[in-house]
Amino acid sequence: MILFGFYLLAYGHTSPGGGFQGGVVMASGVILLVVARGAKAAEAIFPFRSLSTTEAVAFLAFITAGLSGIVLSIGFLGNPMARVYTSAVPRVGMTLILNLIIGIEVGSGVSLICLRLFREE
Amino acid sequence: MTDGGLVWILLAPLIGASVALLGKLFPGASKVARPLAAASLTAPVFILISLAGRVLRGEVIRYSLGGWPQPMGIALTMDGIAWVSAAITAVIALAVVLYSLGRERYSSEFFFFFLMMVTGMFGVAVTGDLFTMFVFFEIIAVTIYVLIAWEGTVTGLAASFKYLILSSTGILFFLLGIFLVYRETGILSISLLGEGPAGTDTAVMRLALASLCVGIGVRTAFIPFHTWLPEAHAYAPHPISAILSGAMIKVSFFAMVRVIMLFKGEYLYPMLTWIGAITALTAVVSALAQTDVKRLLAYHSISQLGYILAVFAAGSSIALTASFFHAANHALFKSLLFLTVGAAVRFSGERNLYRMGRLGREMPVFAVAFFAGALSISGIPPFNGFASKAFIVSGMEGSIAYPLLWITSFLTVASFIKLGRIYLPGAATSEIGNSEIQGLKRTPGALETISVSLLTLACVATGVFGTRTADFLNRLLYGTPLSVVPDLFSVKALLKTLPVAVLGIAAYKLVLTETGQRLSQKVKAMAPPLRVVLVLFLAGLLAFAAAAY
Amino acid sequence: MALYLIGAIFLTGLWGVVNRANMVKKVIGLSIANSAIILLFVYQGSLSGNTAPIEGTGEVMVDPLPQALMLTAIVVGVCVMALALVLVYRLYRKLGTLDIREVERRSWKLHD
Repeated sequence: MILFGFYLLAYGHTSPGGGFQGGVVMASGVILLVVARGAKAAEAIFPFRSLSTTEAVAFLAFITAGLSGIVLSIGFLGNPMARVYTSAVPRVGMTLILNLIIGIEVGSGVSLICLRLFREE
Repeated sequence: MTDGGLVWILLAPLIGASVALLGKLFPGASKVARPLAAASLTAPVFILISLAGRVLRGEVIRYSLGGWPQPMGIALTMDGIAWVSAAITAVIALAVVLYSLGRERYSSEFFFFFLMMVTGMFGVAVTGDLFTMFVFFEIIAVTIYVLIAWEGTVTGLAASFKYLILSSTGILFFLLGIFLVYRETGILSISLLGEGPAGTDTAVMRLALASLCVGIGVRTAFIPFHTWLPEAHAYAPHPISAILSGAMIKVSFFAMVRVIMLFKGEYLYPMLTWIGAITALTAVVSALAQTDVKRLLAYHSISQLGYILAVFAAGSSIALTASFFHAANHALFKSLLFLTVGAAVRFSGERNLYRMGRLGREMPVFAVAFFAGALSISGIPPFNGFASKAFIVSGMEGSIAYPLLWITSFLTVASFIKLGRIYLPGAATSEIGNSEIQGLKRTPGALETISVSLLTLACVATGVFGTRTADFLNRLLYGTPLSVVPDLFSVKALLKTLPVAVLGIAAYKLVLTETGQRLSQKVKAMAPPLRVVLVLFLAGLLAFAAAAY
Repeated sequence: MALYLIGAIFLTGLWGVVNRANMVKKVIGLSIANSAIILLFVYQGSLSGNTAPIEGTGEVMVDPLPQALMLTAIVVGVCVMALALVLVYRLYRKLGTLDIREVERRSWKLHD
């Protein structure tokens, strides 16, 4: 479980990293658990169904985030934060949100794939 | 935002996919989710109609995701080529998704992948820069690998795997091409490239174009890249076969057209004409030898694509129009054929055309639709195949490769006479009709019938109004009205189809004594052809790049 | 020098795809070739600067565009690899073999 400490590190919008990398590291945490203890143990902590749901929800969240750009009429994937604040820091907030969503999406997705493969033993 | 309409072409299927995903999350809602998701495909049709006027006037519509300025944003463009590409996708996707909502009861996940694939196809059609083209190509690819293997049969899995290997290798070359372009010019945006850097004629740029074409060529499936297509199209679920043959290979072809025209690749034309003609002929010979109905149709897809490629590369003044016209018609009649033949396979439980029996009386509407498609592909008036073949004839005026295409024509007729037996009226065996596979009735339902009828009507309409359609295309692509107008319905033109028909019947009789069947029985092992395939094409294009100095 | 190395990696990968009958080895070959192309981009991008593309470090950055592009390419590659392995796995479950020639032979028999 200490492995999960690593994902926080990989998570950044100002440092090398970002959503995808963070997500994959999280997933590898899960995978390590599977390899070490078997699929049953991993599933006890990360039930298949909720991973599946999380992944789907994250996908929808991404689309919604993108659409929010349209609603505020700056076009798809536009940056709604730019409208609200004027200082530079919150503007990267959009990137942060997107990264977060992507991270969850990727993490749950990759974990799902591996759990699925191991399950059918 | 007036230009915002463009992005909705992409967003509509994407949102549709999300709706389908919701159907998976909440199984109770899936009855509603699936049709809703499918309905999202009507939006692109309307958007395209509304944009048509502006594109006809020669305007190139641009849109940038998120409002980021060029060259940083992800850009979308809409011009003549993009319009045709997107229109074909929209129509075929709509017809096929309607069919999929029918008796077969595909799950929400199926629709999710289907709609993602359609998003990818629209993306390739309207993309404004090369890297986005790569991304959308891969979206299509990944969803297709899943969809081909959807039914989980051994043949489907194997076909999907082979396609995966070949296609992924190809896309690596596409990336290589992008790399070379970026290294030389520093930009990847299509509009900016068009303004200057793309025309520069250096060895690196030629190599780049060659690489890009190899990458797209695998998806378009002309010789020597076609080995994946027969199995992938034959063993996919029926609606997927339809949209693969109907839309996907066209979209890839149009992307290649755009790339070649962008990089001023006219020196490739002579070679491409020959590749097209040879593809057409060899594929139809293989097709004639098949007994599996879907493989027969799949080989014909390759063959017709040969026509499309050959006339495009002929370089005459109506080359683009003839090529795109035939592409559009092929999309219509090939998806029609796959859907009707698929229904027949489903009904009889057999894939071998000699064992399928004569289903004409069981499914009369489908029989009519099938014959409409068969007559279209054979180039018989008044169907659309006749119109576009007439345009191809005049587009290839004076080309030495033309005789190959002519031979292909009557061999096409022959193979459809051979295939036609499955829909001839025969003794009604109503027990099969009322029985069920896995609890679902075997006869096609209302939605399938509507879908198939719409496609039939379209085939007839674009045939009867052939000249008008071609004129429309000409304006879209060249900006000028049609100048060369082949006589479509004069007696002379109609008489020209007679020898083709007669020779076709003769060839069919010949083919009945089947030794050609042995040819297709030869197992094509993966490794040697792959090596030969890639090396040949690379060598060919490289040689061309060098020789054109 | 680096370019030759990358070329060698790419060709190794292609060789694996073409010449190995084991399906898993084909997928690995594909992955290797994929990495080679990605390296190519990143290498080319790295030629124009000194340090990682992070704002505010004050030194000349390398070109960030190839890195962004390659991130996408890596993601795509991962997806395709995952899918390829799933296909191989399912074929293995059904047929008990990883040899593509055997798979082809058996699926031919199922044709007609």
